[in-house]
Amino acid sequence: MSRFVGLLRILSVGLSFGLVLPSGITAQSLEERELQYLAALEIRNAAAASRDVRANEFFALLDSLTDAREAGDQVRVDALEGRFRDVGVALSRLDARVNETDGAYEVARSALLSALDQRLDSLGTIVEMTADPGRRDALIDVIYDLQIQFAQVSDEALEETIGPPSMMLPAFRVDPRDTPTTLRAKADFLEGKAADFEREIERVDELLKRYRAELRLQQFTGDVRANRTRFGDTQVPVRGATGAERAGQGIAADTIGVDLESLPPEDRIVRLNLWRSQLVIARDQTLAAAENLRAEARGELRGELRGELREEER
Amino acid sequence: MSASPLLRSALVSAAGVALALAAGPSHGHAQVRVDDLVVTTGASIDAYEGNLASVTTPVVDSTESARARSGQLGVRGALLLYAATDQRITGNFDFGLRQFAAEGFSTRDYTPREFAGRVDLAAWQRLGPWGNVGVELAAHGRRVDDRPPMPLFLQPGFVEVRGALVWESPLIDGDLRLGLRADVDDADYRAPEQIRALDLLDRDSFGVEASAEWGMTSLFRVYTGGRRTHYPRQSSFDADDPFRRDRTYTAGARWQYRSDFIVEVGVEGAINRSNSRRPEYDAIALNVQGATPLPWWSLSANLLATFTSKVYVEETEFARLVPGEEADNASVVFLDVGRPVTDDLAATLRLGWTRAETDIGDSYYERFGVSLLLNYRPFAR
Repeated sequence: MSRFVGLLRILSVGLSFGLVLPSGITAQSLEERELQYLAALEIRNAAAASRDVRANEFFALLDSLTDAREAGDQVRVDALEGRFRDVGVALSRLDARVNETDGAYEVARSALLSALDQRLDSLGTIVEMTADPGRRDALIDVIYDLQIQFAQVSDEALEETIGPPSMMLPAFRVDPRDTPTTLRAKADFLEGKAADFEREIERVDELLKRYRAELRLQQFTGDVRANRTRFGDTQVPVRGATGAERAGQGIAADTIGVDLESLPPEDRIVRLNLWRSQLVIARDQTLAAAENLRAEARGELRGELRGELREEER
Repeated sequence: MSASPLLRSALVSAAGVALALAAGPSHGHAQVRVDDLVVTTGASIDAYEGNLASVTTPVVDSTESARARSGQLGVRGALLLYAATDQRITGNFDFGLRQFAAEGFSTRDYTPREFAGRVDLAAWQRLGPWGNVGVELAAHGRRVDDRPPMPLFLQPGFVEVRGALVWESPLIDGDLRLGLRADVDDADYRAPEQIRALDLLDRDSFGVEASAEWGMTSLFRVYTGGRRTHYPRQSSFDADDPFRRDRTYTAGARWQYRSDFIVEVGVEGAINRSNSRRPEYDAIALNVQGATPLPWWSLSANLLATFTSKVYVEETEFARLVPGEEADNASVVFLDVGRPVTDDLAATLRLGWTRAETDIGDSYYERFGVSLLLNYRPFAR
């Protein structure tokens, strides 16, 4: 349900964005990319939901199989093993289907993020240069909504830019049939994902450190050059700036859909900071979910909370 | 200053295009965004060597070496003046004041003071599949009071205005970008009563350049161009074509790598031909720059070197250069070592060597200097 609310939110932002922006063609293009993204997302989520249902069944069977083995009930073990194999095959097939839908989803998501990035960039500069308070407020509202939308869509887009492993949050829930062993297995899995997030945060921190050093170096060389040429100590201006000094000084290149390493250090730092904040949220949410599962496994969740979880599941 | 009709019409056209770009979609009133602002202050000690004659100053001194202490103050900035989806107008400025206390001359001590300023404006319009087109306007000027004799060479004062029309292609195969540039300029040298010879440097010129650039972190650029320069106050000693007109052809290549360290290597050749035989020459310049963080105390080092060679086409025993062109083919080596002091303040120690031609052909003066510079970025984040 919350996913549908999110989709509606994205659509409404797109529509309001189209109404406010002066450039109709680009707004329309953004809207088309949103629709394409939503269609791809829906297909992918449907595949992922089917896979998750089967994955829950898989874990439940694993738990039952473990119990049967521990109890020495060979008849039950044999029956469960057959079922376990069937569910495992089905799970593999569904997993493959999810991977297939990933391709179209990646393309659509990347296109939408590019459009959003471009719009945010344009709107940011327009807002700074707009003196009319009413128009300014309206644009700021649009930017705020777009930033939320960007954050919602961007976690995997940024992966693509800087190449980390997949960071999709696994959608494990407490199932009424879950035994403590199943819950602990789910919690282990989530903690493993949280460790992935943590490693990625450490990698991003290293990159940030490197890019900040690059920025300092570029500012240093810029200062050196400016202080050398300010008083013209080395050359009279007979021929003006040579072609060599104009290297890389054309109009700022588009910064969308390009490799992170090709961006100026200050832009890389901005993007990586955004990506890092997403990672921190994902890590914390994953750890919290894992802790909930462990608490459930220990029987520490109160009955009403468990009831709420089950209600949410339904 | 009297700008040529060509320059005047070009500047008027350029201003018109710039205003048209600035008008753009109606986004209300403009508000300037400061992208970078750097305030620089520093002190230097320099030694100059070379007992050289010069007609650029009212007096000629017999000393072979001179010393100078100087303090400087500078401010430069980059501004975003207007931005929309497909348009952008940026501005840059750089102003400086440098005060010398020079001694070692046989006649008297000098206290030259320099004011230098530069303002430029660039307006860009995206043309979708046709690339980008831009208009650039720039003004550059300097003034020197109490200009000393050689060997303490300081550029004379002048005012220069420049306009350019630029086109760059969209990215071809995701990497290659082609460029075309046409520009006009007009320079008026400030000639005090005692040294009217500086007026000889007044000029106007028109140039074109074609370039190709590819790469991101590792960027290559090749370019070639031609320039016609008219010196309305210099005689060619040709009754049918009485004023000096030069044609300069240049070609060059540059490679720059920017990552954890920075390396730039460039080579440029120039052929200058004229209706006056005196200034005809062939020249080549090699530029090298390397910058890297050092492993100690957050230090960074920057080495910058330019080596030039200039060969005149005709032999002569008279002065080669027009007064004021003295540093036309300077060779320089600068070593800067700097480190951040705080987030918004950086300190740099500079060692410099310069060897440049005087207005007597094939005569050179040298300068050795050490400077301490502080660069303050008030808006550093």
